[in-house]
Amino acid sequence: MTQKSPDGVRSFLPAWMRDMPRLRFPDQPDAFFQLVDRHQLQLLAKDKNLDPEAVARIERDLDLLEYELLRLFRDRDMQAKAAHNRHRVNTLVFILLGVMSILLGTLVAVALATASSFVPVLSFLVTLLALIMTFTATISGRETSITNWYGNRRRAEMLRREYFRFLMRLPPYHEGDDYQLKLTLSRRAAEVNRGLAVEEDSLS
Amino acid sequence: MNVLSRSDQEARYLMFDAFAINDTRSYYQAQIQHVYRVYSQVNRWRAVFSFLSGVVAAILGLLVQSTPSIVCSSSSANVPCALTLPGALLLSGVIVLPALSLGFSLLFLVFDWDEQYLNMQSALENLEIADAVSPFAEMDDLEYRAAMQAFTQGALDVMHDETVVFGNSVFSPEKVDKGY
Repeated sequence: MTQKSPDGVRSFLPAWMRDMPRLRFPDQPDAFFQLVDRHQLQLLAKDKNLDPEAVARIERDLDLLEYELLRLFRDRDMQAKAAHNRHRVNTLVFILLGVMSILLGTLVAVALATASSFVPVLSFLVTLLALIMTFTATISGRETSITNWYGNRRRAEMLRREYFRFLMRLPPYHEGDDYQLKLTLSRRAAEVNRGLAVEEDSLS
Repeated sequence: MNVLSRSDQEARYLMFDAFAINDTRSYYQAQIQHVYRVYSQVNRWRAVFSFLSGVVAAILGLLVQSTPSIVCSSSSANVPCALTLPGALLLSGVIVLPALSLGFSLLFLVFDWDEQYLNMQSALENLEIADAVSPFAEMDDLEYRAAMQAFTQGALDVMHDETVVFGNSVFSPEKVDKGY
């Protein structure tokens, strides 16, 4: 469905830990990712005894989509995943800091009554924690990761639908010569990539 | 005109079924299972830590009440002064366990597992509705073409609805787009 990040040791972790964000996230998309795998398409053609000329025409469409649309999809998909990861890192850091501040606050209260010599050290740690929270809020506020995540994910999913819309010759790809189809695809893909909404309800 | 021949339509329908519908269905099914598992695990940890917090607090209370020697005579708040190792561990538990429970509770806010589960389940059910109008070989060319269009558009609509959560709030106003 989307480009996958390497799993590594995560595959051995409990399910909820596998949902945790990554501290090091790849910054380049998978250049070989395909929405329609050509090898599997050949296997399907062989298995279902499809017309070789029809399959060849699909492959020509895939070549066109590779340049006009798929490279944009890969970029948007990757940026969406990176922004999503960053958003989760930021939020989890705040949760962690919040839990730590509760712990330290409770320890200060206990130390006041039982071991007052620890109070200065604990108070210093509470101050340090407050400074870290301020620092984290300042640097995460500049990244607007949730807007990047939503914006890029929406564009990636629109590009995915446009990919199949073209392959299935749904309107506006149901008429016109090859040149017109290519022009329409190119224009709509660019518009989606720019963030504009294109007409998607073709049957009404 | 660029009208697809019957063999083209059949090939493309099978391709769409394999690479869009089945991939999407597998993805939804895998995600539903994964999210359900994650939800159960996190919920279990949250419940366990809440339960242990209560148990530890109760034991500590019992210990403090039944062992006057570990309670400060000068303190009116019944705070343990000379803690034994079990007393110290229990006291740490009273502080740490509720914090852990709170941490797991906050994870729900970050990951929205319950919302994801409902969203995926609804999308999977809608995909089956779209699948119900899929074309079959006995149809004539015109019917086949119409069924293929309805089937494809229905499936794309389901994918659209499933991802609409990402979209509406970040559409820029039309007049702003036109201004650039």
